[in-house]
Amino acid sequence: MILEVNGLSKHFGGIHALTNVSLSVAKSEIVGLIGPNGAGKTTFFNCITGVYHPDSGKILFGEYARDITHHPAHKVSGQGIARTFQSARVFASMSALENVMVGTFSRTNASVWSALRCSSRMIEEEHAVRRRSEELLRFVKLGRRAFDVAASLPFGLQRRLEIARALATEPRLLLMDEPAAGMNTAEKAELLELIRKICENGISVLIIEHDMKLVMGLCQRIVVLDSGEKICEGKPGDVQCDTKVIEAYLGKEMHR
Amino acid sequence: MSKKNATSGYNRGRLLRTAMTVGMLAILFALPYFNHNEYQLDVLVSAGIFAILVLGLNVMTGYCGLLNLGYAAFFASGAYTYAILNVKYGLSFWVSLPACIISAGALGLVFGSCVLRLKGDYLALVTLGFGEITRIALNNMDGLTGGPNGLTLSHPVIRFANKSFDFGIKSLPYYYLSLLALLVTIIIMRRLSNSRFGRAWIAIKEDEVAAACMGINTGKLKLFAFCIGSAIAGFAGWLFAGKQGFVSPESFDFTTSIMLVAMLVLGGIGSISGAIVGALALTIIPELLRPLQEYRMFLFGAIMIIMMLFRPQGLLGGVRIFEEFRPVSERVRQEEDEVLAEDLKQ
Amino acid sequence: MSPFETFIQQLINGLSIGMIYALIALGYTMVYGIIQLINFAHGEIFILGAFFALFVFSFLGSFVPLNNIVTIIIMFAAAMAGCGLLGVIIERVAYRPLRKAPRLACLITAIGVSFILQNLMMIVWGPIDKSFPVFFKHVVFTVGALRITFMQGFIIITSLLLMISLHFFVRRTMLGKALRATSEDMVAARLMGINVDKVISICFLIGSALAGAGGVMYGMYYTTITFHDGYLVGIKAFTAAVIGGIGNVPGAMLGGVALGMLEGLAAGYISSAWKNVFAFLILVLLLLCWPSGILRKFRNE
Repeated sequence: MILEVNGLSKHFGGIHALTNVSLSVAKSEIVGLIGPNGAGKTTFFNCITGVYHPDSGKILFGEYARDITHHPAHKVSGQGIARTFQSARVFASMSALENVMVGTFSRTNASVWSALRCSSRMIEEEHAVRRRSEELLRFVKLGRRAFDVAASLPFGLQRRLEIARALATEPRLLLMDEPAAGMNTAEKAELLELIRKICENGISVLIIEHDMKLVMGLCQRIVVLDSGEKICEGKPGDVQCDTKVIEAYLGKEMHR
Repeated sequence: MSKKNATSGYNRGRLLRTAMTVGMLAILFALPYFNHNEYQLDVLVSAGIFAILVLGLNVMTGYCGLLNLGYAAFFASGAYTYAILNVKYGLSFWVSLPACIISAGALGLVFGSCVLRLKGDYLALVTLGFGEITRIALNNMDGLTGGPNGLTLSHPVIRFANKSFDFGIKSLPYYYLSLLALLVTIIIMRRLSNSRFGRAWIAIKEDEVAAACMGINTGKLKLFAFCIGSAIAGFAGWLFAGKQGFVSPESFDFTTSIMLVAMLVLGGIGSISGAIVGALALTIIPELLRPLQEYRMFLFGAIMIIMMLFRPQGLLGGVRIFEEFRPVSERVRQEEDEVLAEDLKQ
Repeated sequence: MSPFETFIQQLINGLSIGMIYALIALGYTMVYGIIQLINFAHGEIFILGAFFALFVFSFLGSFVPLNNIVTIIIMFAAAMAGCGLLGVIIERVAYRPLRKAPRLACLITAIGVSFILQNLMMIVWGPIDKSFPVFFKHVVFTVGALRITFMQGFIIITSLLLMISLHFFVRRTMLGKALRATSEDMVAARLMGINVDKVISICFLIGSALAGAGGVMYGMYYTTITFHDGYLVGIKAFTAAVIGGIGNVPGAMLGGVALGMLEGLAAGYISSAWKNVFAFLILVLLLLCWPSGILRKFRNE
């Protein structure tokens, strides 16, 4: 297991956003996280990545199951968890290439002093970062847009840029928050292939997605959240037939 | 596209840039010989000092998005460090330089570590309060700072072998000194903004949560920006005190802080060339309009409003002359052209 | 005077200036509550109220002799109308186009407006102190050893009346309801058919008019005014708004009174040269340690 979450809970004031949610992701596995709006999926991501502090529960990560429960966001990223955001939060004023280069921050270690001196090691590192970033941009098929300002890219491309930026942090686990939202069928097919390729490189993926066809075709395992609680977990086919899941999505049948 | 063409095109661009830089420097260095007007040189010296200050403010406000309305306090800490060392302990101008930079940087570090958890306008208000407290304290600690009467200092002197050169009250030596100081500051700023730190700063300004999720220790980097920004203010303060030969709390009031913000906003937030242009423009324009000296604050206010309403990126916003992302070496540039050519073939 | 009586006397002195702070703080807090902008120009609007009143006073005085009470009423009316109008114009010209811009851009604009107003005041009324007319100078109420001047009593009562009427306006009228709805959630308010632009204009109108009234009382209390009084008093009133929790209307009233009293005590017992440091120190410490104010307003973000 690369990620193990045990009994995670989080509430805001009186609202219980997450109650006792447990989940695990194995190496090179693609796990889908689905559920109706407001089920607490994004809150779950925020708790894992250290944006929120969970009230209780444990988050263990890596081969040695290191406890990262209350780590700040930058440390979580340093451990090897990267994420994308629901609303493509790229750094708008920077070029696509610079966006990806930002992602390498925690994997580089040139000091302030070496930056001021322009030392040869720092230049060497800068070369490496640049080459790697270009490679990643080509990987997500953005090579040609490397020098475009991120804000000028269409939404679909910003999504892909975000993926490249996340990959630049050299993650072992990638969390994707609705990557296909607002994409057309052709773009979705491309995305599907991209995620598969990411997975082939040994990166596990945990994905929130509303598009059932995409999730069912992509994920080996699916976890369903509803009102902050895990109601079902299993293979795509089984989850689809689960009565609780159908109830959560379509509402309970009225008793006459 | 053949490889050879691409490379020579790149070289031509680089040659042009180098030629322009050298030309500009030559003009600046030769300027006093063509037009040796004491008053005009003095204005240019002030402009140079303000340009350094605005570059420092740019690190906090321009790169990191931390609006500082009390920047004059850090400027003052540099100036007063030199003044007190000079008056009380007789230390010379040159020897006090490290102390000025370190004291201002340390002030920024301590103050920053207290306030940086505040965001946006709350942070701005706290820096404003800090600036005012500093000014009132300088006014009231008569024993140390001379209170409202200020402190009078000796002029910088260079001793070499048996000869000595006194800077005196002429503007010329200060002109070269501030030009040199400005160049050093530009080089530092350029290198920082092209490094991983510069990228991280801009990322923090754009989206702090996303930046943190990309592995950037936002707290530490904001503190670093604060520290660098105030150290540069200390450097400018040292230069200012040396040039004036006199320091008093008046030079470090709220209007000064706001004037620096107006310069930054005019030139373009987050751009090195913009900071310099803004500082030059807002030092020289009020001097040209001497009869309208009373309207100085009106000018600053109007510039801030007009820029925010009609051109929030500033005059040179988006035109990143100095820090435009350049490849670190020719080799990378060649590779980049190859990559582009490959992509076009696809 | 016994030490206890001195203490009470300082409190009373503080209360009267505190009431003025509270009136100004209301403007800061209402604007912040509705568009999350620190209206930096509010302090200048406040002192402009005093200048408007002074202008009307000297203008009237040269034509017709009026009795004191009518003069006071006319001065208040002029200051409140002038400031209210100015507030609305400033919002319209400088802040409305920036409603969707980053918050720092609005703050920079607000500082710009403040600088322009300060400069204009300096040019129109000169950089020196202007003396303000004094009414009922010799009327003093004494309770034991305590002395309350007519002006102090007048300030306390007038401010209370203004605040109570604001309270009723916000709580009881349709427009007040729209105001509260807009400050809760601007988008939802717009969807409910509330004319948000109009509500914001009214918010500026009321806040600025209250500041104008505060300006007149400030002039009457201190008897001299200059163009840069607005900056300092404005910062103090902002501090008062933060004490009460910014965006919180009753909090602003309490905060103003609390700050005035604290300041009165500090001026009485600690050196007065450092009096202004005291206000800034409270501001800095408060923002650092207790940014949500004394009366916390819970909100889910």
